[in-house]
Amino acid sequence: MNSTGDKTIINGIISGDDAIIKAFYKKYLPQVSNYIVKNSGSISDAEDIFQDAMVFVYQKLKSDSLELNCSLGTYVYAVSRNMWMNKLRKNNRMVNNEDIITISGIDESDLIEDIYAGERRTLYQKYFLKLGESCQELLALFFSGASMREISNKKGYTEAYTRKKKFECKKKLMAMVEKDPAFDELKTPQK
Amino acid sequence: MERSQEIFEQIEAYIDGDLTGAELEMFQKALTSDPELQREVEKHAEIKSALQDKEVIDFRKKLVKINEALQEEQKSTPKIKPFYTVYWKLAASIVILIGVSTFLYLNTSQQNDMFAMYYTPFPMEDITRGDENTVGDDLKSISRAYKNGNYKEAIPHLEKMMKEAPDNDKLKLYLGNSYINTDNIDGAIQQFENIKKESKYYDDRLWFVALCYLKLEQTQQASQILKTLTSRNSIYNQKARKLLNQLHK
Repeated sequence: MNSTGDKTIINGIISGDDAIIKAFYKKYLPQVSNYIVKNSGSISDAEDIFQDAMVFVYQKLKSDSLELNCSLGTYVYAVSRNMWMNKLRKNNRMVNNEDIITISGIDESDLIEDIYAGERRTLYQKYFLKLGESCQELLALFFSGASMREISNKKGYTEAYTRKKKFECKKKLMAMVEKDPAFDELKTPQK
Repeated sequence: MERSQEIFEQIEAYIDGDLTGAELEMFQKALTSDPELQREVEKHAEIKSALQDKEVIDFRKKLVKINEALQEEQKSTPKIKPFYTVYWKLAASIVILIGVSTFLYLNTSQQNDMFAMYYTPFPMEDITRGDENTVGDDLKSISRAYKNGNYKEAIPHLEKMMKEAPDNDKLKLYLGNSYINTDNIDGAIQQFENIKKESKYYDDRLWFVALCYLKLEQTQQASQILKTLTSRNSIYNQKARKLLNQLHK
């Protein structure tokens, strides 16, 4: 059940409190790592999945659409586990878990659908952070609605150069995302 | 479709509703007849919606930083005084050496039981997926031979492939495992030890070399490698830990 400790953590996550998020991360990543390493993954797979799960939970908390019937840690673990099983299934690797645990209060089939729907956006966001500093800055400005002229003035570029650079950054992002094996298998959201 | 700045800008203008009149008509026409363009427009729309979500991106950035910080913390804790630790390790290994050789003197055949308990050959992947470095029709028969335990048959083919692709770490694992099963343990170790530290198969290398030493009844070498392996967080972690415990019982 939702304890007062969880409330502090939830508020901390929503408000972006570094210390609280870090403590949560430190406490629950090892559980997720343990599960993923047991199921033919690596530590860095685990970190990846755990971060995706945290982002997923963050979005749910922000939009107030999360009804927790278990502790937040348990929930993040369940999300991570489902994300990893999803990935394994896609790679046709075996899932070595005898235990199909259903955690009380979570309808895991709903969860899987939810996870699936956001995956492609997640990929773009993830790879965006892998672009170089200058690409990130330029695209962030662009998508915040700044005009080419405003961006050029701010960066001291010519407008033509800004345009060209924006194109190159976006193209690079698309190429990186398309290389990810998960990308092809994700359907584009239906309109 | 060749991606160009011009097309990108057109797609962006279309998504933002900035195309009008003849331009818009032309674009719409192209869109109905060109499924590739449709997919491209979808992607641009997805990127826009994904990257406009600044809060989420900032949150993810925070997680990445936290992860880096935690890794740093982990790294900095064990290396306190390198000078002492080297000597400590040296001393410890001498102690282990003495201990283990006495132990070995007393009972030798146990290692082979343990080897049998822990060893399973490195699985050969389905070759349909294709490895860029490996070519030829005989691939199927090699993989069949390997999977069925006909290592003698697989070895000459693997050796040939090894010559063509000397940097392929998977091949080294296949060949090494074939050697293990034909009692050429030294040859196996040699193959495995060609896998470099940066390789993603480095954990596999450590595991199989450790087992080779076990088979050769060189327990102290085996346990040293197993110790390295347990500090590396790999899929072998649990097995390595268990085996270590058994070796030091």
